[in-house]
Amino acid sequence: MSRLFTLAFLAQAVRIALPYLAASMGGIWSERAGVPNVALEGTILVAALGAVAGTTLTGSAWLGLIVGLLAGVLLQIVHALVVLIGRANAIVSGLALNLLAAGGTRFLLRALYDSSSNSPAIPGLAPPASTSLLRATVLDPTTWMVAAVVVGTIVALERTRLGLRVRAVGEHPEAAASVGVPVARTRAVALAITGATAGLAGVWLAFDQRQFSSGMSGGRGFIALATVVIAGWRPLPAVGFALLFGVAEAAQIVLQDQNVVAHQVVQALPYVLTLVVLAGWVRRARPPAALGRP
Amino acid sequence: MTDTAAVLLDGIEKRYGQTRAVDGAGLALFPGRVHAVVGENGAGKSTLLKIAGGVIAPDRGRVLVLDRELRPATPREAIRRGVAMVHQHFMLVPTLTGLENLALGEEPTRLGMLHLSPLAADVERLARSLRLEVPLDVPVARLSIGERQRLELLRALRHAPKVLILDEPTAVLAPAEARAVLGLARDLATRGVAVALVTHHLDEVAEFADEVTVLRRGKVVAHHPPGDPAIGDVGRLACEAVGEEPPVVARHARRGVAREPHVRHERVRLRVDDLHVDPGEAGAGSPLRGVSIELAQGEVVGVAGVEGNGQHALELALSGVLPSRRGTIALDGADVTRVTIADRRRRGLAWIPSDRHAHGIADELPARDVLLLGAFDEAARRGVVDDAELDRSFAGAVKALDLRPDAPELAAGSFSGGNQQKLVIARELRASREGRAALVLAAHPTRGVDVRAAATIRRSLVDAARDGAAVLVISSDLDELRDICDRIVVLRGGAVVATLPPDTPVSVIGEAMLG
Ligand SMILES: Nc1ncnc2c1ncn2[C@@H]1O[C@H](COP(=O)(O)OP(=O)(O)OP(=O)(O)O)[C@@H](O)[C@H]1O
Ligand SMILES: [Mg+2]
Repeated sequence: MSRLFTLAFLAQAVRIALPYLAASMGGIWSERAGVPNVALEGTILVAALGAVAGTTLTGSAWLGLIVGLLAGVLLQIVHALVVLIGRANAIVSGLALNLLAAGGTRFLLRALYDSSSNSPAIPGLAPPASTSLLRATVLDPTTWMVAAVVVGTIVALERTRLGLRVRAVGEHPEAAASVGVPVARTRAVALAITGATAGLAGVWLAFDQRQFSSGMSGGRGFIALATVVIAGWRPLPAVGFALLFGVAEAAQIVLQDQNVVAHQVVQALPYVLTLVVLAGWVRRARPPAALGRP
Repeated sequence: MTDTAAVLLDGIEKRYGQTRAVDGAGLALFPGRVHAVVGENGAGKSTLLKIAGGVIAPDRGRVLVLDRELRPATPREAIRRGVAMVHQHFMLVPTLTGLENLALGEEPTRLGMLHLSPLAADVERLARSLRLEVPLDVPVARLSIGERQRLELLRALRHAPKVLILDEPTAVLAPAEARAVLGLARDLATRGVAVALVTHHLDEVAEFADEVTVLRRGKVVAHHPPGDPAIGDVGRLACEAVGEEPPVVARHARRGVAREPHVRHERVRLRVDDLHVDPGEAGAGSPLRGVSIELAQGEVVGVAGVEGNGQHALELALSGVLPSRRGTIALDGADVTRVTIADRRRRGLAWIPSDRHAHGIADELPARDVLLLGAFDEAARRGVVDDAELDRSFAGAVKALDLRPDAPELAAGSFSGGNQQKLVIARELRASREGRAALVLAAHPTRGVDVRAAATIRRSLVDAARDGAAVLVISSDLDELRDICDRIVVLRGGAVVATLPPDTPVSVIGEAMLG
C-alpha cells in the first residue's frame, strides 16, 4: 500500500486522467449545445493518427500536434454536417463515425506505414522516457495544453458570448432563435471545439506512447462521455470525476503488481466506480433540455 | 406620421402540410395605434404575427417594415429594424438568469468576456420606469409566470422598438397585472409605437384597442378601422370570429353557464388540512402557510388571489409535484400527502395544469397519444394500447371542444396554443365523464382558449361536479369563478383569508385579494 499516494502515484493518476479531461471537455461543448456526441472515441483515434502522420511527414512534433487537432476537428465537422444539415440522428451519426474512424485509421496505417498494428516510433513532445514520471508530466507541454483546455472551458462556458449561446441553444433553441442567435452555426462552432479538445486527448495518447497503434483510443472516449454524464454536463465536476478515474486506474496498476487482490477484481475497479457513481449521483443531474432535438 | 404603416403584411400565405395556417391575410400596423387581432384558436393569429416578426418566412406575400421589405426574414433583422415581439409561449431559456436571457443575441462583452453589469443597470432603470420590476439574477425557471411575462416585455422594450407585437400577453396574468400590461401598451402607442395585440378577451379589445382585425381560418373576415363602433361591440366581434349568427353566439360569448343551485352532498372528496408547502426551486412562487380547504362531492370551489400568493404551490402540492412540509391532503378520506402523482391519479385526481408545457403535454408526441398520457391503465387493457379507443377519444375531443385541426397524428406542439389546451382538457375530463374522478384540479383552465371553447370548458367543469367529482378551479378570471363556483376562497400570502359566495361583487373579491 505504501506505493499508493506517493508523488509518482499522483503523477501517474494525472497522466491517466489527461485524455479523459480533454475529451470530457469536448463532450461538454457538444452536449451543452444540444448535440449528443458518442463520436468522442473516433475523434481521439483520428487525432492520434493525425499527430503521428503529421510528425513523420513533416519531421516536427509541433506540426504533428496541429495536424492531429485538425483531424479531430474534421471528424466533428462531418458530425455537424450530418446532424445539423442532414438532420440525421446524432447517436447514429456518432456510432457511424466511430466505425469509420476505426476502419479509416487501420486503412491509413497500412497505406502510410505498411503495418496492421502500429506506426514507427515518433519523438513526441514529452521529455525522454528516462526522466521520472513526475518530471515527465510536468515538463510535457501537452499537459499544460490540457490544463488550458479545462480552464478555458470552465471560463468560456460561463463567461463568454459563445458559452452563453451554447447553453441557450442546448436548452431552448426556439428561444435562442427568436432573439437572433444562429442555432445551427452556434452548434457547429461548439462541435469544432469538441473536435479540437477531444483531438487533444488523441494527440496526447500518441505522444505518450510515441507511436500510433490500431484502436489505441481504447474506450477512453466512452469513459469521457460517462464522465460528462456523471458530472451533470458541468465542467468542474467533470474534472473531479476524470481525476477520480485516473486515481482508480493508477491504483489498479499498483495493486495489480502487488497481487493483493485478484487482478480481475482490480481491473474492474474503474468500471465499478463508474456504475456506483452513476447510480448514486446521476439522478440529480439533468441533461440539457434540447439534447438531441433539432 | 400615420399615413405610412410601420409594418405592412400583404397577401400572406403559410401552409403546414394540409393546414393553411394563413391563407391570404393582410395586416397593417400604424404608429400610434393598438391594433387588436382576434379570432378562434387556430385561426392563424400567431402564425401571421410571427411572419411580421421574421420568425417564420411566408410561402407567399410581402412583409414591409417602414416601406422596405423585411429581408432576410429573420428575427435578428426584424429586431434590427425595430420590430419586437412577445410570443404566446415564453421564449426564455429557463436555465439562464433573467439578465442572461436579456443579453442573449446581442451580448455586451469586454476583452472577450461577457460584461453584463452595465446592461443590468440599464435594464433596472427601464424596469423601474415601466414598472416591470423582476429579479434579474436568478434562473428564469425560478420565476413566477407573471415575472416571466414582465421579463419578456422588458426584453422587447429594451431597444425602444417602433413596433411591438404582443401575442396573448395577458392570457397568463392576473387581472391587475393584465391591466398594467395593456395600459403600458396604450402608453407606448401614445408615444408613437405601433402595437399589435392578440387576445381572446374581447372586453380588452373594447377598452384598449383602436383598430381590430378578425381572422378566421387564415383569412381576414373583418377589419374595423379606428372609430368603428364595432370595436366596442363584444358580441359582434365574437360572431365575426366564429362566423355564426349573433343570437347563437351572444349566448356563448357571455360567460354564463347556468348553474343549478348546488345540492350539498355529504361525502367529502378532498380535505386539505393545515398544508404548508415550500416552493423550492420549482418556480412555484410563494409558499403555502397553513391552508385548509374541504370540498364535497359535486362542489365547485374557486381559488382567487393575486398571482404569487400561493396558488401555484397549492396546485403543485395537490397534484403531487411538490412535497408538503406540514399538514395533510386526503382524497376520499385516504391520506395521499406522501403519495406519488401516478397513485393520486389512480385514486381519482384529474389535473389541468397551469403550465401545460411543463406538466401537460409532450410537444413531439402525436396529439392522439397525448390523450393517453397518465391514463395508460384505461387505454391499455391487458397491456396493449387500444388504438381504436384512442381514435375514439380523439374524435370525441374534436367534437366536444372543436379541436382543430382534426389531425390525430400531428405533433402536439404543432397545434395552436388554444388547441393544445383543449387536448389537455379532453384528457383530464374524460375520467370525470366516466364517473371515475374524485377531484378535478383545474388551474387556469380557459387560459388562451377562444370564447366558445372557454364556455364549453366551463360547462364541462360544472358537469364534472354534477357527475360526482369535487372541482377546484384556480383562476385569475374572477368572472369565470363567479360563474361556475359554489364558493370562492381567496389566497393571500399563502393562506386562505376569505371564503365568499359566488355572487360577491368583483370589487369585493378584489379587496380581499389585496387585503
Ligand atoms: N409548426 C407547425 N406545424 C404544423 N401546423 C402548424 C404549425 N404551426 C401552426 N400550425 C397550424 O396552423 C394553424 C394556425 O395556428 P396559429 O398558432 O397561428 O393559431 P392561433 O390563431 O394563434 O391560435 P391560438 O388562439 O390557439 O393561439 C393551426 O391549425 C395550427 O395547428
Ligand atoms: Mg396563437
